[in-house]
Amino acid sequence: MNKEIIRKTDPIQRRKERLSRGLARSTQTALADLEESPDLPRSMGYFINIMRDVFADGRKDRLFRPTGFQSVNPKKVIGTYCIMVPEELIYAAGAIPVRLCGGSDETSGIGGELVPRDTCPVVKSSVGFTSLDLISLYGICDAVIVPTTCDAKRKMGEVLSSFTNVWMLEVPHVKETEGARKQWLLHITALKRDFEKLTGRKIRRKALQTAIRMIAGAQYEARRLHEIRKSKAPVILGREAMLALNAYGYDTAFEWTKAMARLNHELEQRRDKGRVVAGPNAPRVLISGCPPIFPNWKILSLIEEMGAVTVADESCMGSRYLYDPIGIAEKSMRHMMTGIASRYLMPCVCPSFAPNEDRLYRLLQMTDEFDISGIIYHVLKGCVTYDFELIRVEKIMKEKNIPVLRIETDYSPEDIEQLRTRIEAFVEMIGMKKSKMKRG
Amino acid sequence: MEYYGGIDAGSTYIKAAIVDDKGGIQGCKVVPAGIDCRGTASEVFGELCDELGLSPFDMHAVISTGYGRRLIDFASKDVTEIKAHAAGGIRTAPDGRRVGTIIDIGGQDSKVIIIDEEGQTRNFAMNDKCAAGTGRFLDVLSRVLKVNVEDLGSLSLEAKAPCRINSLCAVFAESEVISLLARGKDRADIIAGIHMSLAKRVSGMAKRAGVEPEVLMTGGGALNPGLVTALEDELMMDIHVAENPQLNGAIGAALIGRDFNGGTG
Amino acid sequence: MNISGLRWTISIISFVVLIFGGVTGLYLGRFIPAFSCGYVGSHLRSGMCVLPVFQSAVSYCSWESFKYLGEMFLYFSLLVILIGRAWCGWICPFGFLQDVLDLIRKKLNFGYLSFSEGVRAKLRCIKWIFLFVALLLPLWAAFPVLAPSVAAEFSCPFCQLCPGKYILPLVTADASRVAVNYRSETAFILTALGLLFSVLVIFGALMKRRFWCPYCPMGLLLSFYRKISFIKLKKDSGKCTMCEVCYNVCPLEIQQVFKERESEDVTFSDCTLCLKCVEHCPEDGALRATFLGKTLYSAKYEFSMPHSQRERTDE
Repeated sequence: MNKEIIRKTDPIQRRKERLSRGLARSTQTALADLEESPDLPRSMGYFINIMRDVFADGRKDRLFRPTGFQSVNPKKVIGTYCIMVPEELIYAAGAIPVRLCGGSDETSGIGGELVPRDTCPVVKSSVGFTSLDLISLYGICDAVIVPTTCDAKRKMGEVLSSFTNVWMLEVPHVKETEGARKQWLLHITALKRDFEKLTGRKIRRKALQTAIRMIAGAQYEARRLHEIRKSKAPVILGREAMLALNAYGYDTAFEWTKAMARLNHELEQRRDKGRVVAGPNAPRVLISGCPPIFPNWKILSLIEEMGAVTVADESCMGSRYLYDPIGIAEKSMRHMMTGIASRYLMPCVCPSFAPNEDRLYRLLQMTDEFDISGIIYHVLKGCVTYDFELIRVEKIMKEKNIPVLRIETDYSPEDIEQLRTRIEAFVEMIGMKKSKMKRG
Repeated sequence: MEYYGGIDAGSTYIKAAIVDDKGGIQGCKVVPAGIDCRGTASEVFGELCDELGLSPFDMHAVISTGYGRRLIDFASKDVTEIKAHAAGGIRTAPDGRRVGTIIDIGGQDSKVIIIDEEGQTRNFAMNDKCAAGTGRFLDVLSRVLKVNVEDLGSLSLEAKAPCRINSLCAVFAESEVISLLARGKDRADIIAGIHMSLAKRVSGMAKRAGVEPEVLMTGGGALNPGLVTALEDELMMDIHVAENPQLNGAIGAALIGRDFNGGTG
Repeated sequence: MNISGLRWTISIISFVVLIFGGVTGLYLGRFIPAFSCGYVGSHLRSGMCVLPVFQSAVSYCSWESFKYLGEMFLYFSLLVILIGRAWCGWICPFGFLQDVLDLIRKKLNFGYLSFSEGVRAKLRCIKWIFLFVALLLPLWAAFPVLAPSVAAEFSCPFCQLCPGKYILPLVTADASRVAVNYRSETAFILTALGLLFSVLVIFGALMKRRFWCPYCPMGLLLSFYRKISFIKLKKDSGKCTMCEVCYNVCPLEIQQVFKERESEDVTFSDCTLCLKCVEHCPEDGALRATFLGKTLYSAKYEFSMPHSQRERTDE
């Protein structure tokens, strides 16, 4: 019996099966971590289910579809990387976006065979997912848009193009100049035409306006969560909040907004009732640097296991994902397109831009608003751009007397014990500082 | 009189210390760590109590630290090595100096802890990813040179022209040492070179963390005068060595237990 | 009511008061720091633009005329110090007319024109030329040492070029100004140019937001007071995300507001204080308008959202 099965499937298929079992396991472990918490908000169920659907049950045979798929009846699915792809245009063209940046250890091993060793695990994992077609999230995409941000992502586009339909989106690296912004508007306009061609539906003014409004709704809820996380006594753990934000990439904005509104409502009630997830003395951590992407919840789990709370993040799969809204004063196509182009380029503080002074301002503002006791600077091995900015971040934070801990790691669980000691010592240190400040 | 115990379950040695409520060190003990961390720890602690004529039940608190800290089930609390070393370093510094930096070279990792005016940890750096810059580095190389780790220090002081060991990696340094031996270099010169290589690695970490005087060196590495001198040369700073550098973590843990229970003095 | 609604209301009221208020016998004076044109029938208008006073005072060049000018200038200065270039954004009837034309464009959902930085930099000299025409050319009329017949036409030279002279009376159904003056060659050229500008401004304002304002010599005059004016646009750089929204919604296309990181005061010379930037700024308190240091209106995330329930428009 057993022999028969083995004969039927080819080695590649078996390898795929082993990997998807591994992915399902690590997904379940990460989710179990969350679900075991007695303080888990009830409304988190939706987000946890999305993650489970996508990563644990996302095998081809179960044909994953985003849950909101039926309600919008889209013609096409567009895969996106980074946060420079205007989702408004995708929705307006009658398609839906899904986010493809990978966070799985299993696939980063596979992807590592196709890209250089020193590439960051995000790229490795994304390449691994695409090349193996491990979960249907990657398979259902009719087009995959790769913005030219950092070197690794840019070259990743090339590698991916042998597996899937890749569109490169050129992002200017110096955004201050008029030329760059004009060029960007041209690229976005061209992208709009490409979407129209793909779906066969012209992007009309009204449709674009509706799409802008829909995403503004999602942004409004994301900002509400952002405000809730500022509260003196935390009512939600960082690993939960970031999972909820992360889940935005795997469902339609409409469905996600509804779920987020429910979560925010529950959290606001918690805040009013004084039901907190950590005491007022718990050190408040800002996680900066490379984005934690599900199921790589390693650092986030460790921080909160040690008694600190991740109250803020500047991750492009977290707070920064939906932070900046589109500002429009009229409804002409030209003005809306200008607004869209601005929103996806100008406020973005991805370190692939230079100069990127804005990021320092943003971090300073966050440390003030969230009453941060310490910063954990997450560097994924191979991410040079984030590492470059560490020195300046350390410098400005030294002036503010906020300790910064650099954690360099990848997706593999092998260094977890060393990280535990380091993070524990850091949390202990900022905790002492905090209680001292309280006393003094 | 109240007594407080501290256990530092390290990777190579397990250290135990007992302090009284005045902060005076009553006694301490070091044994090599076996494979059964918990068993060895309770054994050494029991022996230490016997030597002092105390019973483990006399302890007001027992605090554990080190890699095996979570395994010590008779400890009332566990703290990180960083905290334990910081607490210990402040008290064990010779002549009551105000310590600004603690450099701890242990068997499995090395740490640099920067301490502010009030004795709190301001910053720290750890090397826990590979053997470079740790006691393991010396361990590996002493085996190649067929000397005891304990003798490395005295041997290196006899060096006339230290060799250059370029690699910081234990594995690559090992092959470098082998080729140096093959070229007929003096053993003392090689050992001095090894110390310099290690010191380079540790001082890099210390500089990055923002080293400040006075520097106190703890851990097994501090027992090695050759290493201390090499580090002094590399950092261009005086380095003080605690009386029982190995025991710093255990003493620190015991002192934390005392502070935790509201002791004064 | 949101700030746009308030601005429209005030603009309409000031338009009616300045252009038609004279019917009730209201008289505000000859020192209005806005295009409240003197060519509008005197039985209709209630106040008058300050530029003719400047020009005629200079062209008379006498002690009496300067004394009168000094008095008018004092009132003018006080008014400008009080609210700065909010005169342009909130009160100027000519600005209001441009807004109405802009509204037509918006209702038709047409896009707008915008010039590149290079073009804008080149066009920046126009307002200085106009100011030169308005303040220094009348001196020629006062001392006609050269070509006295030409100089005679320069007693009020800017008004002949000003599109307000032709367009504003037209609004009061007075088409008599829309004519070329054949009195002399110079007058012919000046009025023909003025008519050309008028046509340009009408079509320009249909295509470009506040088409005239970057070239207005009155606006330039007002901008000289921006450092001492009570009303100011301020920015908290720490809160700014450089999202460029303020630039996109700015009718005058002022870039410096989002680019500025050093100074708190972002009342730049072109700024008409229409406060659209504050209204659309998505960062709480990043931009605000102050009066003598007291915050009048501050940016709020809620105001900026094009959210379904919170839908607001400029109309």
